[in-house]
Amino acid sequence: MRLTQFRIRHFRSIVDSGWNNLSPDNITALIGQNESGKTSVLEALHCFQKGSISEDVLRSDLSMPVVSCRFKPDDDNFDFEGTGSLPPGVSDAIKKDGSFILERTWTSDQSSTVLLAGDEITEVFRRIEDAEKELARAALAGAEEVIKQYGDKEKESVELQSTIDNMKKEAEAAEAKLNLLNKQIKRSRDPSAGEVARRNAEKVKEKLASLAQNISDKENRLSEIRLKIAEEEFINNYSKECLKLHGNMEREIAEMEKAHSAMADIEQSIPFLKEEMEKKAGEARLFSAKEEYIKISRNVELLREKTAIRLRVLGKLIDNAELEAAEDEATEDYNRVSSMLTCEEAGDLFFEHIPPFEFFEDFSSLLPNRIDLEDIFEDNVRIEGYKAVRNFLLVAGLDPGFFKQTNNRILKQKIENLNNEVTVDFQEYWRQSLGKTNKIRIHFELEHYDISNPDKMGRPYLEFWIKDRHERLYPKQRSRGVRWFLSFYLELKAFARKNHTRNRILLIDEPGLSLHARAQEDVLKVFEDIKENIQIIYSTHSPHLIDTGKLYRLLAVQRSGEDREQSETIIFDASHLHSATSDTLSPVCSLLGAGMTRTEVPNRDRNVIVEDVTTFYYLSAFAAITGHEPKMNFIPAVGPAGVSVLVNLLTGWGFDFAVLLFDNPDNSVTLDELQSYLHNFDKDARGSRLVYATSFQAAEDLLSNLDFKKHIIRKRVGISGTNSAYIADNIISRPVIAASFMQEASAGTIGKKDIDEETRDNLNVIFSSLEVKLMSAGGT
Amino acid sequence: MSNRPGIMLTKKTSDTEDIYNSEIVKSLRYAGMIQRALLPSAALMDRILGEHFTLFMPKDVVSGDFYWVSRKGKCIFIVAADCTGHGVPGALMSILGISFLNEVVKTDCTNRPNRILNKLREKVMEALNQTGDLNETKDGMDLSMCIIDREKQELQFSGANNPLYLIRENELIEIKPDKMPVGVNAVDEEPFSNNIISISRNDRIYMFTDGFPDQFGGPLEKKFKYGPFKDLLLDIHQREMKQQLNILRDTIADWMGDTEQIDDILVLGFSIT
Repeated sequence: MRLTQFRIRHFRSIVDSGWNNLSPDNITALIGQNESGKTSVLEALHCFQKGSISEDVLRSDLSMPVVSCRFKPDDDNFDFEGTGSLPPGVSDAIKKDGSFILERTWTSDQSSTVLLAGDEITEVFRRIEDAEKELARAALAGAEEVIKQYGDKEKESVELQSTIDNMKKEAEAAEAKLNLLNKQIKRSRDPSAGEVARRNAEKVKEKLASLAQNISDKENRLSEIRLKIAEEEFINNYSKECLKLHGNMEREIAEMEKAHSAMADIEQSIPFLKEEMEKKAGEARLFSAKEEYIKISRNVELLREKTAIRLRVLGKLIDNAELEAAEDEATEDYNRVSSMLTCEEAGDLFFEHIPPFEFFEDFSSLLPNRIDLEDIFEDNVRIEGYKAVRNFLLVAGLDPGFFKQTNNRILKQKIENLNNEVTVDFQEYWRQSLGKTNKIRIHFELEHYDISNPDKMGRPYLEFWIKDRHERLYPKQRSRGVRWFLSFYLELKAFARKNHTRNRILLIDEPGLSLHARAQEDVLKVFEDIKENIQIIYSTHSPHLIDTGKLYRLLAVQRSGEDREQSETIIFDASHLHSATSDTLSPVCSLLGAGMTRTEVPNRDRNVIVEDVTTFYYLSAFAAITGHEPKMNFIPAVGPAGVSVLVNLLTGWGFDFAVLLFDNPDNSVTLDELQSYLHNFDKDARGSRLVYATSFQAAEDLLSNLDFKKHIIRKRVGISGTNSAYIADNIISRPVIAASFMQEASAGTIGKKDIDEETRDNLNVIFSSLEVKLMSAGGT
Repeated sequence: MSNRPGIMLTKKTSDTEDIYNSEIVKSLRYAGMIQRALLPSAALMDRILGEHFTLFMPKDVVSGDFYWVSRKGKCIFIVAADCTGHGVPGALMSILGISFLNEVVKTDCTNRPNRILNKLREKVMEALNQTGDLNETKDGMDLSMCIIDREKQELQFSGANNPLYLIRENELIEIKPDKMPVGVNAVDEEPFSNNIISISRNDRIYMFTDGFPDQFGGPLEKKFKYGPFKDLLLDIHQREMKQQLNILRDTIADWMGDTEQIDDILVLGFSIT
């Protein structure tokens, strides 16, 4: 499993680094000035794995850090399914990419979670979460509607009953009135009065008939409603229960959050307690707070499950399902969804498969002269050299029990044996890379403080020595190179002991800082040796820790503005190094010059002197692309003024050569000098050796605009002027982009088929002209 | 209503009287005059091309189509171009195109049309800040460019989406263009290709934009299309250039009938003497 990309947000000076590619050959170097943010990048990656952060990494706006890493399994058949039950769509997205992203986010209490991330994957998880929320929302809304309708029916039934009762009373009154009227009719002797009573009796009869009809209608309606009430009583009660359950769950979640917050408060307060008693009381409070939190969170889980199933059942009951079938389906559906990993669970599972990270930095990781055993076994990480000594003990296989040996002679003998074992192993480990540097012996001794340290008298400590054939010195008395290599060896061995079957990621802040140049180059050799199973990401200022042939390994880190304290950190990957400032690129630029002096020497013939290292890179690249034969030996001068020096030198040595100059103002003085010199020179010997490329201002102008954009700057912009003017206008580092182009051309990544006809014609013109001059130079 | 240049927009009715007199229309008319002044004069066309015709029918007062000719040494350079859109946006683009062509041909010593188109594209992309971003406009030009060396009896052609027709001995030869515009492309820009063709006396060359073949009309309101356009050119190519112009103009006017002209129309024909 390899880490292929990272993205850091809201971490110290980094607002958003964007995605940055790591070198495919496992060695990535972060270059940049002091305070640019190189160490922040390493620390952020370290925090990604360890999960904890300190307050000093937070930005002033208190936005919480997010660190995302993309990992690619070494094995194409990596079983993503085997990492748990992923929701449909997630494993397809991962398989399609062949990689996955893990994102660690922190919250204000500095706790963190790791998520399985990526646009497509996040969308799948979001859809699932939304579907669950929608299901719950719809069920709760349904429950409220059921309860409301049931309530309405109950109310209607009560009102109907009351109306019927009133109507019956009215009917009774009407009956009574009718009886009275009938009596009046019988008793009446006055025909007109009898007529009035009869008419009234008729009216009362009509009213009675109407009342009887109304009562009958209402009673029918009441029966219907009562029947419905009886039918809906169950779903109404079920709905009420669901709402109550949901309410309980929400209250319990609020309780859980309170408990978590209380627990975090206690945890944060403990380090500030000074008295032992207070500390113990604080720890006891923390213990009970944790117990309380665990208890509530378990209850929340149970309530969540119960509520989720109940709401599903309710949804189905509302759709007229039978209870038993609804319960079966709801449980099955819940089990299916709950068995799928959430993005947090998937994140945790995938996290177990990623390579472990280790951070190597000078203060803690370099072997000290001495360290108290107490500090080691009490994990006092703030003690200088703590980590180096832990590594040493792990490599030597020592645990606290070893030091309890009471027989002093046996203990001394054991220590002597271990010293020999570690030394032999160290010498063997670095045999290929370090040569003489590995001929040292590591020695540790168990001592006890004497009266000269009254505070610690009698307490044990470990003392370290590094011996060679001549002397025995404390680590700090030895050269930093020896101390660094020894400590680094301990780191690698300890790391391997802890994680022997897995690839690893080693983060190193300024390895070999202040080592001699040769020793720094040895560091690079060591990296090359171990890169098979260890991905190395290191920060450096040193040109000796950069391989000129492998600029793709670089990430340039710099501040976006001139204010180095306030502006944010930005990172350029290898293909955009040209966008970095020359200060950021200073180790690369130094190296480009240094590399030339070591490797490019004149031959007897076919030498071509060019004005600078950039031209050298371009011409070498063009020769590789066109496959020009026989080969020309390009020799870079240190700027146009250096051309005459090289011409004098090669003339003096009697070597054949031609000179290539481009048509730009910087070359005009050189051109005059050379023309005058070569004229005198040529009068007696050979034809002119100077090719003055009048149509081109610089070597990059030999490329068509299109090829320049495609192969050099890799941008789709319009370039209406010359390529060299574009570089000057956009303050791009010429040697860096030229070196990168040469590497690709040398590696065969860019071939003849990749350049267009205009570039081919231009190169043909230049190489033909040079051939003419070289033939002429070598021909006499 | 006429379909001739400048007429459609200037149609007078009582409703449009105010607009007609408005400053905008005056400005447009003046812009149209400037644009026409930037096109090669008839005298220059005669001098450089000899026997030729130019059917130029802008849809609006100002046009997105333009033609351009130049002579450098023994070579003559001819361009027929169609800028994105028509009307004012097309006209602005055409002025950019004409200026850039003048600049590239004058300052660059190349006599290869593909390199000129490459350079022209760089200038357009630079002027319009085009970087291939999905959200940016894809303004640019479709054009055909040929360079004729009468001494070598050779024609070089490069096309950005627009082809060139050569008619020789009653046979129409289509020189196909590259399928990309002069401007930012949907995918990464590639170099334009150069086509070199030997030419002989009496060869007829036609360069055009898509306005003629894409014009709607006829009984079924369909496009004129390239097939009938080629047939028409084959039918008329042996006639005098002036007659060819009249036939093309009448044919497209008949085809359009009452249908609105949808785009600028440009057809350039000349013969090798």
